Amino acid sequence: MRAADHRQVTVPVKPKRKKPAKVVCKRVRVKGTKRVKRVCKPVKKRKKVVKKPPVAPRPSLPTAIKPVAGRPVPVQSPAAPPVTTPPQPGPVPPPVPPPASGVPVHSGPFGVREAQRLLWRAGFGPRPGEAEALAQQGLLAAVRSLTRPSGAATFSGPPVVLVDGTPYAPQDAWGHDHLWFLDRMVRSDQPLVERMTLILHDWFATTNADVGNARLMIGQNELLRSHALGTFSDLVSDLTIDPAMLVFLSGIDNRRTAINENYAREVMELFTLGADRGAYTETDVRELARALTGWRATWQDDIGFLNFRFDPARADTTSKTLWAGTAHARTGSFDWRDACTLVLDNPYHRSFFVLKLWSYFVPSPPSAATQAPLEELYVASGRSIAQVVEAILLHPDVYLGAPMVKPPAVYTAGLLRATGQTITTDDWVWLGDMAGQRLFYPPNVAGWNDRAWLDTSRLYGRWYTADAVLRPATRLPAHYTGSTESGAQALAAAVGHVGGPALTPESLGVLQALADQPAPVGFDGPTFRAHRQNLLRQLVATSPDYQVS
Amino acid sequence: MADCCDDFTRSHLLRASVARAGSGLPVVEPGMPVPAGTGLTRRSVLLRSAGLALAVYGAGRAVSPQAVEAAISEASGEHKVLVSIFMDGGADALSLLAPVGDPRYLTLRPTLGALPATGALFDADPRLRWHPSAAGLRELWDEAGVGVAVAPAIGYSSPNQSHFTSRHFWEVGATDPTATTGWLGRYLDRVGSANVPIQGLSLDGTLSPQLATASVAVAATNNISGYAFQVPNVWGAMQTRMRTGYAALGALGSADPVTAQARQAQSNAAQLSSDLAAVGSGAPPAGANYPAAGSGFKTRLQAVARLLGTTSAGGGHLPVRCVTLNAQGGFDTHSNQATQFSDNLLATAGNIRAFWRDLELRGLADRVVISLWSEFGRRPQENGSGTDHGAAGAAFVIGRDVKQGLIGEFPGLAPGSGLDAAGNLRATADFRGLYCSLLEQWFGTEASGIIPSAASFTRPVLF
Repeated sequence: MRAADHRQVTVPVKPKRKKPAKVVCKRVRVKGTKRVKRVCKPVKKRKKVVKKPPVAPRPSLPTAIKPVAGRPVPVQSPAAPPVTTPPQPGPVPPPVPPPASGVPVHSGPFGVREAQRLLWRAGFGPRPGEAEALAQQGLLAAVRSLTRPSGAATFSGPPVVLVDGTPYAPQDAWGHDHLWFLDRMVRSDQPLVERMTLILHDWFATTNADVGNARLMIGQNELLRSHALGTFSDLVSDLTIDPAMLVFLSGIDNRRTAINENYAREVMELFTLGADRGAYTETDVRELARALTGWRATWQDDIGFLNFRFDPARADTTSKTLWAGTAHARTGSFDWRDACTLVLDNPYHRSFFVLKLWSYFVPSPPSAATQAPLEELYVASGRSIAQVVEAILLHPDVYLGAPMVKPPAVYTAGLLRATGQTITTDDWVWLGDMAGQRLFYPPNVAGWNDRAWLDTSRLYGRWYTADAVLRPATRLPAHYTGSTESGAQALAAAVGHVGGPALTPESLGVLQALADQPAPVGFDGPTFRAHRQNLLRQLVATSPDYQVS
Repeated sequence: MADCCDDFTRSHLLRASVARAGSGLPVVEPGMPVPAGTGLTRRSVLLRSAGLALAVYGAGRAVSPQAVEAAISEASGEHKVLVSIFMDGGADALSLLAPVGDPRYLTLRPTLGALPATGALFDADPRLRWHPSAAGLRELWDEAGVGVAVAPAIGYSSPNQSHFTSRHFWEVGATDPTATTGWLGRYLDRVGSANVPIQGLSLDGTLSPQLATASVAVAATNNISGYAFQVPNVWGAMQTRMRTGYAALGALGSADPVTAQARQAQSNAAQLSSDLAAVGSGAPPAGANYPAAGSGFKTRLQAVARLLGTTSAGGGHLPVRCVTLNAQGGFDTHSNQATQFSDNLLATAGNIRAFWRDLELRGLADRVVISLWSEFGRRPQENGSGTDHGAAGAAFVIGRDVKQGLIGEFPGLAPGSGLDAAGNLRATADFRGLYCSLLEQWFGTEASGIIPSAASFTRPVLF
């Protein structure tokens, strides 16, 4: 250790936090050419506040099943009626019959600890008291309260109001897109709908760094939300021609006379089939790209791309062959709709879907005895996302397996929920960036690298995220005039302030030893107790125990 | 280490240490007491001098704390450094060094070929021209005091056209989709120290997989000069207490691998914060002349130069060995390539030239080599306003003692000889051969054990 490590810093040195200038970016076509360039301008104060009302999600379970070409038409099992359960603790409801999918179901205890984990995995953590109430319901009802929400979401607490007086404008003001999504995570009573929307935002990662149009990005986010508990087939079809996606992966540049492979490659590699497992070849990329031709948009200065439409004159209507040389080879004059069906009918898709979805909820791979029935369930349910998620959330591996690192947006929303706060500042935008998850700006089309949520850089972002959550309740010496709070009481108060997370005994040991140290020389009692409370809260909220669940 | 690579092999260091062992160098042997009064723990002495095998020093010699400090700084500073700069997205080699002299070029690139065709001739292969926006690289090529090795068509056989797979291959130094450690990470595992995260540093929001190690600590930050963990109303001795607590929670370890990883990351963060405390935030030396373009990339390069120029309390430089960062912007130019590629290349090349000057002015040019690479090149046939994913790409190695010239050759654009069956450029050099050369000729360590099947790759002569 260098001498510098032991210096006594008495003057607060605020870390340098660079807040990006508030700008809006758009694509501008260079006059007289086909070149498009991004132009960013500082945001002017808007006169009118644009508020986006919450949009009702689509029904939670599929109501129709499309026949799957090349396979027997699946038989739909009747969807169970939505279970509405009051969030308050009450008498244990009558047992709900377990699902008969063949996927293992957790049969061990479902107490507060398990309910906490369920809320962190399928949502954004508990508000105070929520885990206790959920535990009362039992596993099946608890899971179904998340997977089968009824009606439109309701939002608790006040909507976004920025204390600095900036009008809230998700589609126009810098960073307000991030606030808009984060706010839903904090306040919605349908947390799994928001969590699945976040998952799909990562799965079909589209970044506004390239799209340059928050209106299109929020439109895509609403599309993801409407399919969050719907069918994967509808999702892929709609996303293929979603305006933000058409811009991001060059769909509007892909025409008969100038084939652009961008979307064709990524839809197979990242969205439906997976790379390096023999699911498709480079020839398939080129053939699928031809099938996907025909979409275009109109450029208008000051607005950007609009009027996204299919133009038959741009479409390649000649014959294409997919999966050549395999038993499932297909030839035809396929169009973009066929392209979506073709990739989902590829025999490698079902395992890709199940493994990818599973990986968002459980850190270790499923056993063969779990994966096979999950794939069967996926196919038999007409590619229902909700039914597979439900089976995963009932699985023993969720409750008995290793913890998972909370993604930065989940960590942030969870801290806000635990401390009873709503969105009142745009600091969450640059803090999200520092912690590694600026919403609407995934690093690339593969989404966020969730194996790298915790490194020295990301932890720095999480430290200042926790600081921003705790700051409104920062303790001052005046709070402790006359107080005789002991070390043990100080630690209990700090843990309680962060929503009472269950910390490991060894972490509590370190924190207790810290709390029990006497006041340093030069600190009077109230100053010492205020500093002690602040540092304990910060160390609890950033503790490795709290970063995982 | 002013001398060439051969002087700095581990065996050389060991030999030198043996030679000095009889002349009063510190004794650091298992069983010896912790040097008292130095603030050093036995562990930190051993870890910081991991390059010095413990058996080297004779036993039984009493040492002064000053001698221990001296030995540590000798062993831990002054490492040779590789700065790896990644052009993200698949940079178009056929624009960067454009084969305008090949008659097929303007047929394949009727739109995009126009701008590079106006560039300066590349004198090592007059079929090629430097893109006008590559001026920074061309100037380094033309300068006397620095060498540039240029690979105009580098890749590997059976090229993979996924960004993520091909980039992964380059990052792990093998065409192995399942590899989990980076090629630089394996180098650090061999020569690095367990708890010195600064030895492998990504100037980025997250760690480059190139630096992923199996055993030693590495780090990432894009905030070298402000990496401190503070909160309001926790000051002075209480702030020190908080810092200690943060480190102690990280040091706990765990039987559960996820919790263990979370704690290790916190431990690394605490250590990195302590190590970076010495790095200043001053302006680059007058004369470096960083261009206006590319603010993010420029800021990171300037931070790297400050970091490498920082001297620690013991007098030596910080024990940095590998630095990774991304070049300016993205190079995945499926559309709008003419503008996007030009802008990003201009900022990338111009700032690399200024960074090199910065290192020279700080007296660091003998310790640093730069590599510039991308996961693949782009399709020779343009698609309208852009290009799709291709195969062989371009790479550069820049350094004071780098032997200027070509790595491999430009294969031409003729179908069959220059282009493969899919119409993509064939590679004439393998990136793993380049890695072997950097490991052996720059770092002075055997590539075998770091690059799988190292013996099978042809090494370009870089030094």
